[in-house]
Amino acid sequence: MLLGTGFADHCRGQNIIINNDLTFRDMLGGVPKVVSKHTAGSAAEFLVTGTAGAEVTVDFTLPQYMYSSGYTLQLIFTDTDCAMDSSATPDQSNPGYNDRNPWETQTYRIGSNGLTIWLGALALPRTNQQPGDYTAPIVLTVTYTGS
Amino acid sequence: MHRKILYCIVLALSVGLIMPTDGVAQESATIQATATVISAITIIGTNNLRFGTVLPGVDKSVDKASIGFAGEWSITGNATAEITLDFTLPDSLWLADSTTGMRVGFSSTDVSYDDETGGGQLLPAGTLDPNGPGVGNLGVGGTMLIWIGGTVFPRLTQTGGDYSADVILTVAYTGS
Repeated sequence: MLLGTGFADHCRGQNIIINNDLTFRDMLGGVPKVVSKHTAGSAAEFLVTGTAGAEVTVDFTLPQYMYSSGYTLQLIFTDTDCAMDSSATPDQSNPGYNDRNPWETQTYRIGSNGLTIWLGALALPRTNQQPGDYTAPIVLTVTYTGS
Repeated sequence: MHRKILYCIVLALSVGLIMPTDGVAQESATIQATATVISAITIIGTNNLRFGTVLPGVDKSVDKASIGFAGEWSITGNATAEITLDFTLPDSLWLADSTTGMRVGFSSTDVSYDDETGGGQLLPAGTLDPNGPGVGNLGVGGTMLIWIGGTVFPRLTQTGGDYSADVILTVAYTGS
C-alpha cells in the first residue's frame, strides 16, 4: 500500500493517443504534395493526456524517406510543420501554439483536455517514382520536465 | 542494534519512495507516414519522323497525319491526369559526321494528339504547337498518342547522304 502510493506520485502518468497517421493518399510521379498540419484527416494528430498544468517536452523522430519494397520517397518537414493546442477545445485550423519546428524540442503545458499535437509534411516523388504504397514511422516522445 | 539498523533502512526506503518528487516520466508513440504512388507516366517513341528521299533545293514536308512517316509517341499514365508536353526540336538534320546540316522546321500546327476521344492519326482529337509547352489530359484509359510532322529545306548544293537529328518529347504530370 505504501509502496504503491509512493510509486504513483513519483511517476505521474501520461498517455499518447494516436488520432491520425500522416496521410498523403494518392500521389503522381514528379508531383510534390503537401499535407498541411491544419488539414484534418490528413495531418498527423496525437493527443497527450496527463496531469493538467504539467510541463512537458515534445520531441519527434522524423524520417527522411518513406519506403516501399526497397524504393524511397523523400519526405521533408519544415520548421513550421508542427502545431499544438492545449485549450479546452483544440482547434486544428487555429491552434494556440502554431508554426512550431518539429526538428527541435518543444516545451508546453498539458491542459485540462490534454495536449493535441499536429504535424504536416511535404512528400517529393521523383518523376519516375516506382508505384506502390510507401510508409515510414514517425515517433513522438513526450517527457515531463517536473515544472 | 540490528533491529535499529533495519528500522532505519526501511524508513529511508519508504521516505524515498513516497516523496512527492516531480520525477521524469516519458512516453513515446509511433504513427506512420503513408502515401500511395499511382501509375508512373511513361512515353515511348513508336515511329520516327521520316522525310525519305529529299532533292537538293526542293523543300519537303511530312504531314502529321501521314501514317508511317509522321513521328509518333505513345504516352501512358494515370487515367485523365493532366500532363505537360514539352518538345525539344532540332533546327537542322545532320550527316553522321556532323559536318553538314540541312534545315528543318516545325509549324504551330505540326503536332496532333489523340486522348482517346478522337479517331486516331487521321482524325485526332486536336492539334498542339510544338514550339511551346502544351498541356493536355490523358484519356480515361490513361493513354495519349502524339504525332508530329515537319518540313526540311535542303539547299541547292546540299551534300548527299543520310541526315538525322533527335526530336524529343518530355511529358510530366502537373498534379491537376
